[in-house]
Amino acid sequence: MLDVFFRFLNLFYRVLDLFGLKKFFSLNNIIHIKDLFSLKDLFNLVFFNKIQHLDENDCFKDDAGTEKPFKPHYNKYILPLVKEFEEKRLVALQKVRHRIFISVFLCLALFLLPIDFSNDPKYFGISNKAIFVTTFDPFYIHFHSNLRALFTVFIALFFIAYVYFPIAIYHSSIKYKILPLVFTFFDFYDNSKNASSIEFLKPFGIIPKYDNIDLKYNVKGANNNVGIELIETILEQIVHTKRGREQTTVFSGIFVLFTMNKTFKGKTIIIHDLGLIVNWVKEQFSNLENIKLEDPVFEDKFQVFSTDQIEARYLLTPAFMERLLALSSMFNNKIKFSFYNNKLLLMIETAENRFKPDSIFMPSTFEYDIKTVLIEMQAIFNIIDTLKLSEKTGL
Amino acid sequence: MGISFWWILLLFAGIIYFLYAKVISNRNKMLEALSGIDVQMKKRFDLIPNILKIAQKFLEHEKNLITEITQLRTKVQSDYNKKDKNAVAEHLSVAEGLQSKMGQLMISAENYPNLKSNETMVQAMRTYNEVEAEIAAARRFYNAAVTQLNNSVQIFPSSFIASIIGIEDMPFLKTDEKEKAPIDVDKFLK
Repeated sequence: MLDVFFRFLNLFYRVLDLFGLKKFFSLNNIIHIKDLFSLKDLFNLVFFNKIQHLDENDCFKDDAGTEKPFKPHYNKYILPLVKEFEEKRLVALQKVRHRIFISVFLCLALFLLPIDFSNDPKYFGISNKAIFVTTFDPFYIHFHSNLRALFTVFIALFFIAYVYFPIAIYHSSIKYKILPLVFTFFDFYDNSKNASSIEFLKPFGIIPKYDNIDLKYNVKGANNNVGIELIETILEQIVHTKRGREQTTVFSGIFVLFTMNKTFKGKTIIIHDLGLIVNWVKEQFSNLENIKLEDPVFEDKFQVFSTDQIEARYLLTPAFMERLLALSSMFNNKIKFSFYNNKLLLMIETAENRFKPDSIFMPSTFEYDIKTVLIEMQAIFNIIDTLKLSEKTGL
Repeated sequence: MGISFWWILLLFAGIIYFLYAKVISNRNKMLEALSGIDVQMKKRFDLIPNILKIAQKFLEHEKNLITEITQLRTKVQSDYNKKDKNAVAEHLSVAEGLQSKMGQLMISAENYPNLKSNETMVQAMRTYNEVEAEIAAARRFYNAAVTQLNNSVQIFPSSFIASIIGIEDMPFLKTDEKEKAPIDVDKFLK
């Protein structure tokens, strides 16, 4: 039964992929679907057509704690777009409302109709009370009550997706139009046109193998004379199982690329301790040597591989190792490091999107979206302070 | 003699070979680390004449120090037997002495504002600091390699193999006693 369910799900995603809609419905993006579960707002929308409207006099409270105030930047670049997006939001909510009515009507029509699946195996299930044609599975299957229940679930999923689609489009437009304007506050620019993939990060040696990439954003800039490139992405790998081709997420999080305050030629990677045997195997099958360092806490937590024993120690001074430990605990130890080509790459794994949009039921002031970005950027800049990347001590 | 005897003999020979290979590879690692220090010290060696040339113009009262540095620089570049424990200790001691004297020169330079603000000297000192950082890294690698070698030379059963093939433990790089002493900050701030 579960097997059949996953086959249906696979087929559903392949159909979405065919129409270029998969990115809106991927399990990792499904965060927007929480909007449909704001039951009070949904109830008000459906039964009373009641929507919270924009108060133009109170669009943004500047309390994110940035070094310079964000409000002037907001008034100059984002406020002019607020009205346009508010109209889009209202249109999207009306579409959601209409689609809910259509879905409820169709569901009732579909499931109140008497359906009787013959036990006799046939390509088309035909009863003398209703005709129901299915082409979901061209193969020979028996129709029985469990399959009917499964089919009900599948239809429900389809209608949820149908209702959710305008919400996904609206949030997507915020991501592509508003978020880049927030990044310009930090003098960061959208780099996704120059780097639409992460192939340039592969030489760092910590990127897992992947088949598909969902690049959320790629921005570039500097802080305290340290160059920064920030990439949020989801990497998926296609695996072949008994159920067919499946996609598994191998990485979801952000890559942060810093220019280092030291020059070096080789490659040094720092990953979590994989155990004696795995470390030994890794060393044998790569051109990297296992580096044993003096800090016992660091050694316990991490494993260091490098092309050069001396260079690894030049980079990983005792003080720097302490800073890396502090940084790792800030991100629940879900972090890997790589030094290569005079740059430091941090690979930070997070279970959810770092930049989460506000609910579609809230007015389009983008206050929540903007504050999320401001807080996250501050966390990135704190990394520079924690690792003292802006200091050129020569020691 | 049964087959099991030959298997036991083969296993024993395998263990002996493994220990032998371990001791040799640890010794080679130590030699690699020692060469690493020499490579970095060569960079310092090439840098020192430039620094001395600039410093000589300003540090007329430090002629003795400059002479000592020149002599140590020559001595540290002389060949030595890397497999001889005493020769390695002597070489590292001379290198430590040179570093100590260069440190004194840098401190003396602080008392000469004209020298301190000289653009070429500033650049040379910056490069020197970078090289010192690399030497520090090389020394850490050397100490790590010596730890591994000394473990295999001193701990049974690899110590038995090491004594047969004539591999001895090697000295660690130690800090100068003066550098270990606490610093009197007031002395510098007068």
